[in-house]
Amino acid sequence: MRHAIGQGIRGLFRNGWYTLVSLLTVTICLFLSGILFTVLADLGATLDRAARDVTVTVFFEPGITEEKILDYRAVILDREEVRDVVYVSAREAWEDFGQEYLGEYAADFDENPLADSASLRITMKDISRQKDLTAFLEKLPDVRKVNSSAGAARALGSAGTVLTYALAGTGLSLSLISLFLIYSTISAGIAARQKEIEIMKYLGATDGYIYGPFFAEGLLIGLTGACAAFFLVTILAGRTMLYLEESFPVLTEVFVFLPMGRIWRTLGPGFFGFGCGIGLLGSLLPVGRHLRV
Amino acid sequence: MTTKPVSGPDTVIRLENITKSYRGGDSIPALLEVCLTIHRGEFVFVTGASGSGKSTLIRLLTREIRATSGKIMVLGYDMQRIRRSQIALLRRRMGIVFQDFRLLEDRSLLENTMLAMKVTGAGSARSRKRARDILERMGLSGREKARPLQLSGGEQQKAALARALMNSPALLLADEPTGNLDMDSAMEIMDLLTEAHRAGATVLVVTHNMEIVEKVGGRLIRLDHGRVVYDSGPAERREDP
Repeated sequence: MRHAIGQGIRGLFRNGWYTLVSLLTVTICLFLSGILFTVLADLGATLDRAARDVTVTVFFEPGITEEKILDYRAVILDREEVRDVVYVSAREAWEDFGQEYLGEYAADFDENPLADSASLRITMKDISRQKDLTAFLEKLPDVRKVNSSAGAARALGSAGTVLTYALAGTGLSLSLISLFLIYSTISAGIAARQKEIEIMKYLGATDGYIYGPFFAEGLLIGLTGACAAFFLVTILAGRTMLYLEESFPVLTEVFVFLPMGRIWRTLGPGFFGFGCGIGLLGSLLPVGRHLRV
Repeated sequence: MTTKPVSGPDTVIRLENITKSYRGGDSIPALLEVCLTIHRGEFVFVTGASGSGKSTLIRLLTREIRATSGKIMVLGYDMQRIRRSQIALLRRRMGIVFQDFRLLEDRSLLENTMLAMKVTGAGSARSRKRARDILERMGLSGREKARPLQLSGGEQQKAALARALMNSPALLLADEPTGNLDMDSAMEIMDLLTEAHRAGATVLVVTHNMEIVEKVGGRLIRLDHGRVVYDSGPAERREDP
């Protein structure tokens, strides 16, 4: 193990530019993936908050009793995609309307003009399923009208999907480039040490003794890249969030910025897992190809 | 699976009907139905013209290549069935010397010599001490820090021999060890090989230099077109054919 790590470190310096390029690529790959992931996580939290604000309102046929509406409430509340259902009585509806649009003039009305406007206001856990819910509600026997904001739901949902694909695409492309560069670095190392490897084989070196340093070299490139990306994302994302909060406070009302600690709980193990994985795979392929006893 | 020797414990090398053909080569095999037994403590010369199969024999004995057919036993290992992990263990019991020395040019003489023990997992201090002792025996004291290219051919071959002797090999294989040397240097190397033989190693030297064979003596095997055409035999006094 000591031999493998020592020779691995020596190999990093021996391969010079190859090592540097591989290291930078792993760092850039993880850095960009980390930034995209951070944006995605923030967007997810923003969508989650928006989902609470996007409501579906159900109005019922005139003459329906409050008891019957509450029965419907229970039925709707049982649905998986529904977060909460609030019953708004005709009186509450008129009070809200009066306060918002009529002010003091509302007192001039003796009767409630919205007498048949008792409704259920539904917030959802998953706004992408709003269409299914609306279809279900429209089929209920006493339902007169369903108000929904399908456009907002679609826009919010598709923004998340686009970013997820962008993250996956970027991550995959950069992973392949990283893999190729680590592969090239290790291959160059093997080619440079071909004579030494041959001699060591004749002297009775085991596969582990010969291959170990190359695995250590790949692993060190992956882990160093992961560490560098970790610090870059932490510093950059932290400072960006701080800048946005100070300079554009209105943004914090629109967007949710998750604390970095919460993001790192997912991103941290992902970074180090990726660093180890890409480093080991990048070494395994050339070692398997080039080294034969 | 560690294979058992087919003969007694004194058998170091045994070839039974060994044929070796190279893929893509001409149809004439490099070795053809070779049978040979070498016992512990023998000093054997293998001679023959270029293309007679001498180098193929060495490569088979080090398990660099596998025979096309037949059976080879080396130091108790069946070379046709030996596992990859066992090849390294077998080679640690062998010392191998090549015509082109195969020293690492970017390492000192001491580091080159130490490498033989370090690959077995031995510590640096132990390897260094052993390497210094052997280099002294080879007459290379004071040259430990020199790089191979700063040395004469004879000195480089002595260093290669020192490296081969580091793990006290039971079998010493030398492939044209004097091929690049003048006669004086060649005889120095042969003296050192003889010394290793006296110390208990079985020695097999491939050479085309009959003058050296004459001077050193020992068992002589001659190959021609992949066949053994002469074998003075292990216990007999050799008569040149």
